[in-house]
Amino acid sequence: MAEHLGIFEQAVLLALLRPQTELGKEGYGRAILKEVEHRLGREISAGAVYATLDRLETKGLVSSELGPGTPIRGGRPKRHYRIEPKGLRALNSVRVATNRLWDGVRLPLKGTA
Amino acid sequence: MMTGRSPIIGDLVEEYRDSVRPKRGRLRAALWFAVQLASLARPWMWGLLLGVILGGFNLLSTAVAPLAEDTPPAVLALGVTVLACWVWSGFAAERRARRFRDAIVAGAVVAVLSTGVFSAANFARKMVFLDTIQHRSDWHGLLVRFQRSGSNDLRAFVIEEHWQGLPGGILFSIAAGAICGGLGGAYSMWRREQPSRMNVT
Repeated sequence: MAEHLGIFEQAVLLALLRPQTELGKEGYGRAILKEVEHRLGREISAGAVYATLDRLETKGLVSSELGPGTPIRGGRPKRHYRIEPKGLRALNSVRVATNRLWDGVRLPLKGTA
Repeated sequence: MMTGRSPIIGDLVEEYRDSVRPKRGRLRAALWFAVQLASLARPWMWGLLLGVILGGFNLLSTAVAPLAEDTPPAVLALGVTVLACWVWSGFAAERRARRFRDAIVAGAVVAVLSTGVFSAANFARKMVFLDTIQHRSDWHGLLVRFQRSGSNDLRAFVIEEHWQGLPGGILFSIAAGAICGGLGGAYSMWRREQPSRMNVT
């Protein structure tokens, strides 16, 4: 059965899969946070990103490994994340489901919101 | 797995130095850092913090006005605030992990730690201010029990009563915290499952 992914989880996985910023390509915690902020267009808390990464890693959708630190970080290591095949499958599933859901609906929608 | 906080703190320090501090200035950047740290806090940290705040307030208010009576609205407000904190911890835990079980555990953990720390502070308050606060009206029942006990050492009696009541208080707080956490978790799940209200033609 396909994993259910919330919007935020999708944003984190897409940040790892197709980063749109130079920093985002580095794939460590702060880079993912900035990439997700860029994609969602709003400021987000660090706790939300790390909790999501932790959850995705527990589910086996991403994996991580420690890398060396830098002086600006006070020498603290970076944790680099990578999307796993299971994460790719989950993203594909959610995209297919979304497309099916919106099939035949013309944009822009007209009505009251 | 997210083992160790060093990479996370490193990320925050890097963001602070590289981006937040130059853009927002020292004060607002420090506030940003504090908010980010708070978003990383675990339930046990919130439990300790709540216990320290409540226990500290209890000690301080006794030091300032040891014979001031607790008014029903003040007691009610305190109780509601505590229960709201326990509910909120369950809400936050469920939202973070998407597991209802985490909400119950978070509520119980926050409750037992806040109760434990508050109880320790209350014990200190009784020991430090015993000579004064024994004249409060809400100590009347305890003094009656003391006189009936035949004991001639009020301090020893107060210590004994405090420790006798502690296990029951802790067990009650675990149960109440788990229920409050469950309520918060259920609200979080309910909120997530609500479809956006949209009338499309």
